[in-house]
Amino acid sequence: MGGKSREMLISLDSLRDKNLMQLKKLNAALFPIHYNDKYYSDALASADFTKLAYFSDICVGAIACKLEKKEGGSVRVYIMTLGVLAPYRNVGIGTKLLTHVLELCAKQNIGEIYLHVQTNNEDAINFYKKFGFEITETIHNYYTNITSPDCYVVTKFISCSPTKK
Amino acid sequence: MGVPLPPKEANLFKLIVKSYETKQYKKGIKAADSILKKFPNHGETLSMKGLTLNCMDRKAEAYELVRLGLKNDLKSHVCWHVYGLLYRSDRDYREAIKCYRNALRIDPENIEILRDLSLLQAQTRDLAGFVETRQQLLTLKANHRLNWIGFAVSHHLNSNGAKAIDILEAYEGTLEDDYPPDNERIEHGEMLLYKISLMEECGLLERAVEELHRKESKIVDKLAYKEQQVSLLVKLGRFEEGEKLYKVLLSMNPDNYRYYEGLQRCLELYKENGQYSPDESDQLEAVYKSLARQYNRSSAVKRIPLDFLHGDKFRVAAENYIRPLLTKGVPSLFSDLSSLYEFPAKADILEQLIIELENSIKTSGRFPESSEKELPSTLMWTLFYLAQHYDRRGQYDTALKKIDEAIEHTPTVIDLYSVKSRILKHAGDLSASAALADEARCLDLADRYVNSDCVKRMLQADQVSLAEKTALLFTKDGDQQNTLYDMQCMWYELASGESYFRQGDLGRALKKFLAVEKHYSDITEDQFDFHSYCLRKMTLRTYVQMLKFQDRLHSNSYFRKAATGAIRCYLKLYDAPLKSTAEEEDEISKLPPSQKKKLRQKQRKADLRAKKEAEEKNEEPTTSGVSKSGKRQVKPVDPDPHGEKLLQVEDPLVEATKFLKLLQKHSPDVLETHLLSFEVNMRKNKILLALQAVKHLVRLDTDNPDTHRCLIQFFYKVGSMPAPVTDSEKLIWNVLDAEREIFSQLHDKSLIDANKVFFEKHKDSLMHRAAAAEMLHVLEPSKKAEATKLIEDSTKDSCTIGAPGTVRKLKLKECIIVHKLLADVLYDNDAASRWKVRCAEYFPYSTYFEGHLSSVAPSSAYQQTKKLLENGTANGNVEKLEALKI
Amino acid sequence: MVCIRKATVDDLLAMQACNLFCLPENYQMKYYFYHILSWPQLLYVAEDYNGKIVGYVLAKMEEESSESHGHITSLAVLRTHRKLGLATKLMTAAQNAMEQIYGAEYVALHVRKSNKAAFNLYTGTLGYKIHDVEAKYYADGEDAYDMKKQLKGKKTQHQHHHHHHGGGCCSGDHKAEERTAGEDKKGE
Repeated sequence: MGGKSREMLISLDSLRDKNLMQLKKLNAALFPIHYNDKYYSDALASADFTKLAYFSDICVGAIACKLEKKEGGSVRVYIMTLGVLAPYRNVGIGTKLLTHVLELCAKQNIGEIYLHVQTNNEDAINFYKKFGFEITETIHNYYTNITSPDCYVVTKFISCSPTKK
Repeated sequence: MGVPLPPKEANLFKLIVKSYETKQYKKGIKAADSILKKFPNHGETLSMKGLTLNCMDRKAEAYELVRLGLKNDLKSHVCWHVYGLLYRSDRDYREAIKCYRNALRIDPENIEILRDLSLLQAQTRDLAGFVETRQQLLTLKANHRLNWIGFAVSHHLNSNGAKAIDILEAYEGTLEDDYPPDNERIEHGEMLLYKISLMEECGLLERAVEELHRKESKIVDKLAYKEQQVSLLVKLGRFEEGEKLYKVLLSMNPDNYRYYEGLQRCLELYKENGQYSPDESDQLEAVYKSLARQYNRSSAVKRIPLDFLHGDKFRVAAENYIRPLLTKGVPSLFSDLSSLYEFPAKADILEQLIIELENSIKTSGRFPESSEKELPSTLMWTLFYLAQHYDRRGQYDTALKKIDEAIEHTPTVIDLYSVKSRILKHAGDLSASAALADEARCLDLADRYVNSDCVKRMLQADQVSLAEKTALLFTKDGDQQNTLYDMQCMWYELASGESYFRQGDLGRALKKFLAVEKHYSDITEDQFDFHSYCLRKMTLRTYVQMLKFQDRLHSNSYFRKAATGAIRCYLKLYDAPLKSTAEEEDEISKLPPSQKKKLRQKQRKADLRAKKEAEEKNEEPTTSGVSKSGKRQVKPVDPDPHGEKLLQVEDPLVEATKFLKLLQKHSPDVLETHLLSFEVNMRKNKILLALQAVKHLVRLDTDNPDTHRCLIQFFYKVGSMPAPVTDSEKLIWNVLDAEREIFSQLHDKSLIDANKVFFEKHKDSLMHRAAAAEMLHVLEPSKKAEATKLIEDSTKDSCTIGAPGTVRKLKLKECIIVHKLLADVLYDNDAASRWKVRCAEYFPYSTYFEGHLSSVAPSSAYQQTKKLLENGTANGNVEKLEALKI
Repeated sequence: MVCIRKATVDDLLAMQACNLFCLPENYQMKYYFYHILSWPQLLYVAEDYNGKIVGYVLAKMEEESSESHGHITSLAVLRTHRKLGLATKLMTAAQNAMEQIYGAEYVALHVRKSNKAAFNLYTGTLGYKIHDVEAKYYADGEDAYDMKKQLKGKKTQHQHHHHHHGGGCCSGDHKAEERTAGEDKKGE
């Protein structure tokens, strides 16, 4: 401790049946969408690709992914949601969550990871670009009932190096 | 003894005994059977076979065989001994002792039987007999350590500590100088500590200190040594040495609150009531300041001063204590400080203090005059504290506002939902409270604490079956009732019983209360094995503590609640008895024949079905469920799951009296005991016992409204009794006449005047007003309107006192009692509904009064959020739509 | 503040209530009696400022085995009283007594594989190491880590660590044999 700001202890934990409600609470606070059961079963099935972020012992953020089988048998990762509660932003929790998933992709030789972002959400686009994501597609009228309904598909292709552990 | 067996059979007999001791019951039965083939009437074999069967849950056969064996061989001490053991296993200690005594008459020096007898004497606290038996055992075998110790302990228990010390010293005299060997050092040390504690108990303080010092090297438990030493030093007034020693103890464990208390005693700065003069406060402050430098890790040195400091000094100390705990996020902070709320001045200071912290964090992200930026969670914990603060002060609106703000800030913190649940409970919305506790539970399904908390709230809201299902989630085999029962989960059984009682289901309620009573008798039984075990283990100090604990076991609050609950059930049952089968028959016979037949058929079918189900359940496991030892593991199905049979008691008041006696013995200083005694004895027309109850009530709390009720009702009833005829009636009258004069309330006053005096004296208290009104109605039934007015006038001032933002005066619980009084006792429906309207305004969250914010009201916040949750989100702001929130 | 002190017989009912409220592994009263009447120095309680028992440690010595060692039967802290370091303080107190009085060479305990908070407490703050995994140790089928901590050669003084750990730190043995162990100690 010391300095001007107190230290924040961040740790990640897996998603389980027993703490699923934590993710539901986070999503209800973060996103205006009601996620259905499919979302949660995908997240549970993704095992270590979905993580809750804890500040001390408080759950403050999460990354939820889905593993998708491409034709040909290879797997790609779709980031369904990534979010951190407002009071706990800008201290690197989102980075920690995303880094975790990217490292896991590398470990498991997964070559593709992607997500959807609203076209006017520049903060988000810039955030992902920092990690090597790029815009690969634009989908018009992806969202319904909102002012800016278009979205980008943002993708990172990971070169698979067989030397990686 | 009967005819001796031939060698082969004699060996088989030994095998039976051995098999019994090693719990190989099947083997034992086999051996017994092969003896009985040749000697079918051999008494001791029959007895042993019976005893073995008893361990295999075949009780009836066991008694039959044991009795038969005894009949065949009345001169056998074995048969008598076995008979005693059988009674022992059924907890019939008196019969068991009789059997042992018969056995000893035949074989007076049988050590085994003497030992068994001594155990029962310890168990039944036949202390004189215990001393005698232990003396015999020592005389018979003086070379056993255990017999010396047993003799000493028996004298100690029989209130002869000095004799016990002598015996222990005599025992030490028999030991070699180099005693003890390594493997007995701990036991020997324990014995010495026991002896020294005896000296302390006998007031031989100097001798105890010397002995302690002399035996220091032989006492292994150094912590116990020091604690014993400091206790003696304080009693001897050797405060300087005591102070030093307490400081040593504190350096070993700075979290032991009792060491601080002891230290204060040594400094002559300790007061039971916590009221210190300004001068003493200053001295204490200095003491704790210096302690804080030494034990900077201990929170005790910072918390204790909050008790004796006042004003500005309190404020500064409190702020220093609170700030780091808010930063750290210590959820128990409020409960830690809650005792300070008994002092309104301190509560006010805390309120100002926390609000300042809240404002400072909200505006600058820092505590006042701090350079460090606070963690984001600090604001949430501050709001969390404030919510509990306002809850404590009865300002439920503000409390809920604060907790909602905290939830908005960090919606994943379980504690927030638990506290919101508690606030709603206090505010009177029990179903909303249960719903919030369930929300907390869902946030961590692996945590039994939130599960239990939720079950508790559900039971408070009378959602018993839901509560059962929820509790079931944490029991292994899914057979929740039994697991909770087997594990003696008494809080659950009590809460469940109380809920059934509220709902008028007396059978189920009784079943739960009686279950708790059973646990207590099991706990009493638990001590049996330890009478011998502890003498071997030498854990004598703890053993004696345990016996004393057992002696007052039934004064424990769980037992009190269970007994109280059971008595209330029996009283209700007496006041509104069940229909007897004859009465039911009578009703059926009035029906037209066709319906009668249908009804009978239906009943028969239902009976058959129930019988079949029970049989199936009972039979199923017997084939597979027998373990190696031959003991059936599967419990039979409960033949009375709803407690219906419990209601079919001949005289509920006789049952009630059994519990009442236990309460009178073990909780004589609890008001409720005597209220129940009054209720029971008035119904039994036991005038003098009812008078006793009234006298106890007056002794415990003259001004209590219930005391007043009982007093007035009692003398009102006495006054309306017909003039005495028999001698005993006359005697009672004389007693009553004399006793009446003893009650100062009734001195030279009519009951009506006494009631008026009581009312004038306690005008400001709602519960006292209610009692006076109720008694006015009893004494002068024609003055019902006046009685109602006494109650209604109370709200005139109190309601304005309770305006938002101030501390609440009226209590919800009391207002509900008053409403029930108006509706069910005074039968004034208009007044009752007026009362309800007022209370609904005053307690807007109360479901009982149907307040507009309670969950029964469609416009309540609870219903609103429920709707929102069902729609998926509470937040439809489009701008927030983004897949990134970091 | 919370007071850490040796348990007395008068605390046992409250300890059992605390156990039943927050842990899935439960014991009948007799098992508590068995502990305190065998090893009265190895039971500690955490008592809050209002006198309520909010945590405890229930420990014993395994005297049959050649190497004298202690065993933690059950450790509980109510979740309302987490983040005060109570579990650490209770464990330290029991371990010290095992070492000082009984000369225990090591202390062992079982913990549910999924109980991360407890696992972190034992491995991090208290210095336990995984010794073995016992498959399906718990009645609901979960595996247990069999953990050990060496005591001899360590300083006997209290070491006050400062550590944040989550709620629900607990270990509980549940095996039927263990639960009824008190009943086996019969006869003189």
